[in-house]
Amino acid sequence: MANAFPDDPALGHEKPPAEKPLSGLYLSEPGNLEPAELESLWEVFLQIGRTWSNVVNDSAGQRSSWLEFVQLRCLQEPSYLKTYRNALSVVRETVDQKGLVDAYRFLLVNPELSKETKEAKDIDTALKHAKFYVINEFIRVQIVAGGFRGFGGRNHAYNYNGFLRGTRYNRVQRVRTYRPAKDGRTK
Amino acid sequence: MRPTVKPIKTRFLLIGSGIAAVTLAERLLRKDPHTEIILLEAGKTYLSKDRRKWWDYVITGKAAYAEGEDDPDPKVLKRDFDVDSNAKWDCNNNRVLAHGGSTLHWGGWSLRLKPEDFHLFENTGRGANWPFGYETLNAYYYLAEHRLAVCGDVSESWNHFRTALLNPDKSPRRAAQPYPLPPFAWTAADGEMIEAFRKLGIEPGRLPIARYRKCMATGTCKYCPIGARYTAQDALDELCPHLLSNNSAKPAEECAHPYPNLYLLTESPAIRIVMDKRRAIGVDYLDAQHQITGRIEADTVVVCAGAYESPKLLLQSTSDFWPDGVGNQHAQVGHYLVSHSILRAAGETLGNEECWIQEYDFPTLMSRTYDTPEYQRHGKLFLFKNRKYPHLSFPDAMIGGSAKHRIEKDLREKRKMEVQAFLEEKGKYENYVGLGTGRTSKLLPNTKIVFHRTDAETADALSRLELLKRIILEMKYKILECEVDRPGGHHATGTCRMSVLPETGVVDADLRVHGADNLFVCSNAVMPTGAAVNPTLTLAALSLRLGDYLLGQPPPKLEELNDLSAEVPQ
Repeated sequence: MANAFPDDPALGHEKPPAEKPLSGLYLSEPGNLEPAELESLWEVFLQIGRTWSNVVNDSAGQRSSWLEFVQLRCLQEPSYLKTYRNALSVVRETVDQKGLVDAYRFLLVNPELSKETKEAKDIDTALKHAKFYVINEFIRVQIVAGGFRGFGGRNHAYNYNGFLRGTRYNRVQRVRTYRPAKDGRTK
Repeated sequence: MRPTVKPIKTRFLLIGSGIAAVTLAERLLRKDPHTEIILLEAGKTYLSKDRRKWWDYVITGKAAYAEGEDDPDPKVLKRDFDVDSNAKWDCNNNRVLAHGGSTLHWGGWSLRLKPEDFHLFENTGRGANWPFGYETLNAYYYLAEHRLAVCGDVSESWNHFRTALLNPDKSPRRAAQPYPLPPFAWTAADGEMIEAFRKLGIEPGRLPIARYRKCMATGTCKYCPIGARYTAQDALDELCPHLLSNNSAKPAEECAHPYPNLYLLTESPAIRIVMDKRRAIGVDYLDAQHQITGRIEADTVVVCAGAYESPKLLLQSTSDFWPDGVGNQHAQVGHYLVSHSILRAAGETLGNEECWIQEYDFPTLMSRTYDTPEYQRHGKLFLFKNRKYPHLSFPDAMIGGSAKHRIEKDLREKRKMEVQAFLEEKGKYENYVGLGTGRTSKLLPNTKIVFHRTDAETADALSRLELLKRIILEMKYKILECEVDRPGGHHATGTCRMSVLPETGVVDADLRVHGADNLFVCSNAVMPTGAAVNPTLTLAALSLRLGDYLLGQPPPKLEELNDLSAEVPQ
């Protein structure tokens, strides 16, 4: 998959593929996604790393965190089961309409769509619902599951709010620590 | 509400379930596991260490217990609080009404007061003295640091007095009274401020912070997924109390109940302390869930309900013998409200090639250089670096549609730093917490707050801002903001203050309400001074001391406290 990142600034002005007034989550009983649904949802998550190129091994290191996140959201109240199914349907429809690359450009790096989905009160279509409750949440999961290290090059941070590193009781420094340089400047 | 038929009886009734009540309960049970104790809590139980709740917090920034905080909606705050303040007293997010109290959202900052804090009036002619000195609390501080697992650095100069008090023949202090765990290291982003401190003659220190050894520095300290920070909720759950309410994180049958007579009743705000002249008989409460009122009778009643609710409960408890409220015969209850003035100066510099962002959710750099007797007259300062900066939210940038190169550019373009300080304030009679009109959504009486700063106090605060600005300028940063923040109830103290005489306070040196036989207050409210640092460690020490007093035990001897490493939670 090519990096979906645009040099083309004219993204996201098309009409959303689905229009459905919504407010908050789609209500549903807790339950499991079908394995195929789970894998399709994982594909959405993968596109985040591919788009921003901020993780290695095609997000393999983030899979366990993501899986825990999705399963807890499906199995516990309030359940995201229908919310995820809506997102899958939105993604499928968008891909059908635009093709894979443009579909994810539209869903992930579309400033217009971002502006329209800043707060829960803005959510009034199935598309916006998928963006706000699924894609945006996946972006946050991806960052705290290690994606933060993809920014800053060699000077990337060691830690980020939400990042759970390694095992308990380890003695490895979890952050970049203060080391005065010989010339008096901070390193 | 209809009354219950049968009152419950116990030996100790503790009103509240925050750090004061839980530490006190632990101390009482340590001597006799069969001690009868009931903790009566107005708030609910919110699940702790729950992974779904944790992920919710990561995604939304809203912690599981947010409902227990005072509602940030201005309309609700206006309804629940009646505030008269020239300093715009802040009621939002000050405390948590819940099983575990405000420890659910505390930062774990665990600093001892200093000897001069116990002699404020003597030293300055303003505020009040404590009825005892630092040495009375010294051993209890040590115990409290171990219970909370405080990570600190004993080599800092302001710790030297502890050595001298404990054992004048031994130095340095670490040989005698070490912190239970080593401090967290300064972060790389602290470096510039550390160097600015040094150039200005300010000794940099490491913040003593309560974190168990298992802390993984997730940066989500307000809701830790593994319980690596002390909360009174987790501490109480470990004691496995019987639950008198069905709203609980942990079903009673899962517990072995090592303390067979320990009970917790949640969602039940106390409405009145029932007095027979000088003697407390018990407490009436509302059981919101079952729409009834109840009564718990007790040999000893301890109000552990914070600096707002403790005085309010005393004021609500009127009778022929106590027409103005229990302990209020000299119109002292609720008065002398003290808060910290929070000063802050922020600056910005162009360039951030090091790509620094704040990587902990707590500060690591602080200084007590201005927390010394010579600064007491105009208010001591406790300096610390704001834990939030430098900051760039990668998810927000991505969600906003920024490309990687744009985010990298923003990261390297500039950085912001902020130095903050708590400024000590002195209690004034006219600053007051009392009863408002009506009840809150949590069925507590509304809170009336009167808090004014004098022109001289405002001038002191503004003059201290100059020091903070100097620090920012020494870092070669451009000043962005510089202000005295609104005061609030986070560290409120003084509203049931200790005093030798009943004419000048509410409780005596043993925390017993003046004029009452068996009624005590154990909360920040009893502290006559707020000093310049967070009060929680001191409250834990006071709770341990009260426990010993109630059991008729002598205070621990310092020489017996040589090795408490086995007591430190892992």
